[in-house]
Amino acid sequence: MQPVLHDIERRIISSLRARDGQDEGQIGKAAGLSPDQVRRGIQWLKLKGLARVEEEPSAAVSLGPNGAAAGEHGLPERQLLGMVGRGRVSMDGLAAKLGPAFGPAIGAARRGGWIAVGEGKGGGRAVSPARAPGAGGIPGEALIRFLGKARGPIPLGTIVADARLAADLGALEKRPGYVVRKAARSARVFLDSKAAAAAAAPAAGAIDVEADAPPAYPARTHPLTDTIEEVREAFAALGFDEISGTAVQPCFWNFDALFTPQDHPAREMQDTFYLGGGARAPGSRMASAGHVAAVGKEHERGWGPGWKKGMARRAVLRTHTTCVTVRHLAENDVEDGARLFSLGRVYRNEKASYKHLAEFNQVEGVVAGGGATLRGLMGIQKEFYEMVGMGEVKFWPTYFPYTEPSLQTMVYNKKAGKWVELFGMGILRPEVTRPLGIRGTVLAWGGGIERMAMAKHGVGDVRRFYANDVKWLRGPRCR
Amino acid sequence: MPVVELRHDRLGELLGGGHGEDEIAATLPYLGLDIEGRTGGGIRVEYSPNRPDYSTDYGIAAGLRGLLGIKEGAEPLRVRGPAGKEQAVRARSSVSAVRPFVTAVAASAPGGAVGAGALEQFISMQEDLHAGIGRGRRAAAVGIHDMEALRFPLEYAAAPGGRAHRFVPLDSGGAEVTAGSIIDGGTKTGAAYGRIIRGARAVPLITDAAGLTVSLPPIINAARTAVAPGRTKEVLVEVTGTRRRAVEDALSVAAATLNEAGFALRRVKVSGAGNRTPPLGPRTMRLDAKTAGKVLGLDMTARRAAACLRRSRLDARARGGRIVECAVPRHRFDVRGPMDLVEEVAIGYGVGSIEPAVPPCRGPGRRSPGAAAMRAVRLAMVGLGYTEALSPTLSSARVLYGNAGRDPAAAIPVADPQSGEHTVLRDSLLPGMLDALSRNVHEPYPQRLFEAGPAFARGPGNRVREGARLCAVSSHARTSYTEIKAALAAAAAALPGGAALKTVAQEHPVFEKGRSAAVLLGGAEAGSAGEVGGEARKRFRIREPVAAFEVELPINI
Repeated sequence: MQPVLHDIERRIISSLRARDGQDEGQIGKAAGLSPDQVRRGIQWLKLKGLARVEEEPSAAVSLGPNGAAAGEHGLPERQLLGMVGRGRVSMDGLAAKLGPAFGPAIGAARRGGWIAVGEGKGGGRAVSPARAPGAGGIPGEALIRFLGKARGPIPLGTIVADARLAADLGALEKRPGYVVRKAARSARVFLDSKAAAAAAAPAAGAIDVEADAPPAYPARTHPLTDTIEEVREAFAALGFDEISGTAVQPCFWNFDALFTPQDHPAREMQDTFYLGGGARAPGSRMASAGHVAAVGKEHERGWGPGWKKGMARRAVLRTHTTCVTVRHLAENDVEDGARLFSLGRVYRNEKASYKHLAEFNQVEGVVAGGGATLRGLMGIQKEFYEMVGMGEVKFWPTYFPYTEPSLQTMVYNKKAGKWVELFGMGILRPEVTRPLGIRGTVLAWGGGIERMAMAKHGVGDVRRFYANDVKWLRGPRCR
Repeated sequence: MPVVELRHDRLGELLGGGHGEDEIAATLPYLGLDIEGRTGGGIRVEYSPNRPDYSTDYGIAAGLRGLLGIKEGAEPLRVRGPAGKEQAVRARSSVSAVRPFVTAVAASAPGGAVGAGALEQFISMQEDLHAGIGRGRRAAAVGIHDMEALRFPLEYAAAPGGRAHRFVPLDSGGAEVTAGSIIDGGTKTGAAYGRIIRGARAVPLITDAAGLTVSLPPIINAARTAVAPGRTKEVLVEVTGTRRRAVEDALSVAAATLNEAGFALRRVKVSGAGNRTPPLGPRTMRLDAKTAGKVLGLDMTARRAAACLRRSRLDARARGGRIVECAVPRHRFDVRGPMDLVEEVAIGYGVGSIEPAVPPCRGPGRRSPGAAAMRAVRLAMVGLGYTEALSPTLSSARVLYGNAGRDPAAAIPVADPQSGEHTVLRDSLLPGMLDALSRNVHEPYPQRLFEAGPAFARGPGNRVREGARLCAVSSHARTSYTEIKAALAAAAAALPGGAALKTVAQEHPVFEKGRSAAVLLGGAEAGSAGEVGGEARKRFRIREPVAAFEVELPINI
């Protein structure tokens, strides 16, 4: 099938069929196209294999400073002839008028036989006219006129092709500052044998199916949302029911119920966002009177006297989702062996960096009673990582303030070539479950989702997820 | 989490050779130590704040010995009696209001003098104790002194001269200064810790029998009692603080560490104003091996559990088939109850040796109704050609109110934010979306974005009300109110129950007058829609026209 040609391409082909091997300027003149159109057309023809461009080293000629002056005032010898006119003029007078150009002017005029030199009236030497220059003028003048009219440098080939200009170039190049040669490349375009047939093919109705189309961007959900939904999917598939809770919590559920001492560094303002402006946590009461009393007593037993209810009442942005699950277990009748999870944003009062955000998503699952074991939870987690496509895992002991024993999952990151800490897990401490009346062993597991999303989407800077960079949001997805 | 630098040569020596660097590096994580990085001659590890005994290589070597099978059970801690009746610290009630508790122990160095390497470890331990259980030196602060510079008995009391008391502290370059100038921040440590006792009437001071200053706790020791590596034969470790438990906990860690380092401990009698000589002996706890097995999912007998505990460097023995009797050293105050012993069993068993077992499958669970509804809304918006954006819910007053021209009266700020970009909980999603458009003016138009997520408002009684909101923006040369209302109608139809939509003319600070509407969903006011006005666009530096809507969703997330 013949390629479809644009009108520009057709005009270039017809110009080249008249005379092959023209350069861009010549094509433009012959085909009536702007330099930009010629350049694009030649590019398209090259891509379609219908034309080839041969570049060869060449030179371009333009006027030098003396040449430009001569273009305005005439060559020095032409000026000298004008001064001599019809009579005899003293040599000293001419020298004063012509200045440094006097010598070359006299020399050229004498060589041409246009003047005669003899005795002057006052004893000095004088110049008188001899025969006038021929019809062709003085050598060099034609080229100066030609170059003076040209807009830019003229390819050497153009000059050499004209005998008169070529002779002038020879003459002027002997004199300094009249013409300048610069190295250049001449690009000549030759038609391929297929071009004629292509140009002859009818164009009606056909379009260039190979040409690029303008970009279209698919609308889609956010990569982080995709990972969050994937995590939800996996938790549900593992038998966990989702529960929800508020992001603003009283300290009681975020810290006190989890046996975090009231003077614990994590509770300080540089780590935790407390609400200002008198804002209070949602809900009509912080917790039941029984829970408050029991938690207070547990704190006094574990950490010494001085537990303050007022401190527990302060509103914080939750620092983890554990407060939601533990509160749910404390305030609801949960069947033995229930599997629950909560997912949402959590907050830490720190400056954002490439690996930490002040606000991120966390998921936490709990298995409440029903013969749950740590080993079983390890098994559930292994299944989870397989579901979300993160195969190799191992478990290391670690420390969390409200679980004992505590383990962390290490996932092998092939790209980084190292084990990366992902989710944590453990059994809620009796100091947490006992005062809240939660019976049986409660296993908890979970962690930050952004870190997982980073690995899945090949993101090296976690801030990217919240930067709303449209180019990235609608660009190609990693997986 | 605190970090310890371990050097291969020291660690190798402490373990008695025969264990390669790789074996050690592979074992450390199973003690609960995170490898932070490897340096030329060693490893940087992070330890958990509940194990301050891991703040030195002595403590970590002790743990490794257990898992590597070099030594099991607790390291015996022998404390000899005081060198004389005078070897004592007496506290006075004059410090009770400011810093009531004091405790101490003495220890003489193995090989005749304290080595430089050992001293480096003790100082790093001291710093970690200050930061952890010391709560920034308020609850407990540790001082280490050269015994030869002291004359017993010591006295812990308020300085008689008060703030005018003069002595040469460790960090004044040899100059004598007043306690007051230190407390007010005249020295480096004073600037860092002076505030702890700045407001108090009394200036707590430890002095010796010669009346010379030993320490101004919790800020700085006297220069004359400084430990000199290679010369100091015996050290005194004293701890003062506001809580007896923290003070004695800190001392127990120091004592255990000195003991591991081969120092011979000697009791120092402590008395006066509610103080006592610190008990450094172990507690006995019992563990039901069957419980441990049930929690861990392992087949456990008392004998097996006891063997695991011994590998965790605790003294334990089986009392019959089920019960294990365990002696918990004083410095293992993180062991509070049986569940803590279960963890020690797991560590001694080797967490790497526990084979994960998948429990029997239950039926599938369900995402919450709110999450499912939010997903439906998102998919509808994507179908309408809108790409999802995500913004932090903690925004700034500049974006939420300044640029948007909205009234900040009901703003919900957070106290002391670390970053100026996260200072106010968002009550609207639209400003964040306009901010997103303003950061993408170089990207091709049309730009159609949406966000669906939580927002916060002040409800009755100043209680925060959390709700789900949906906001969409369309920005391009020919966008219009009609375009965005069409999208809004389609989104409303995707809501649970397909809420009926109505729009009525209403002004809005962001929208152009005459092209601004209140949105009613199911008859209740839920948000607004309109064409973003020129002023708002100018403040957000958006040149292309923008149409937008934002509604509160009848979804509980």
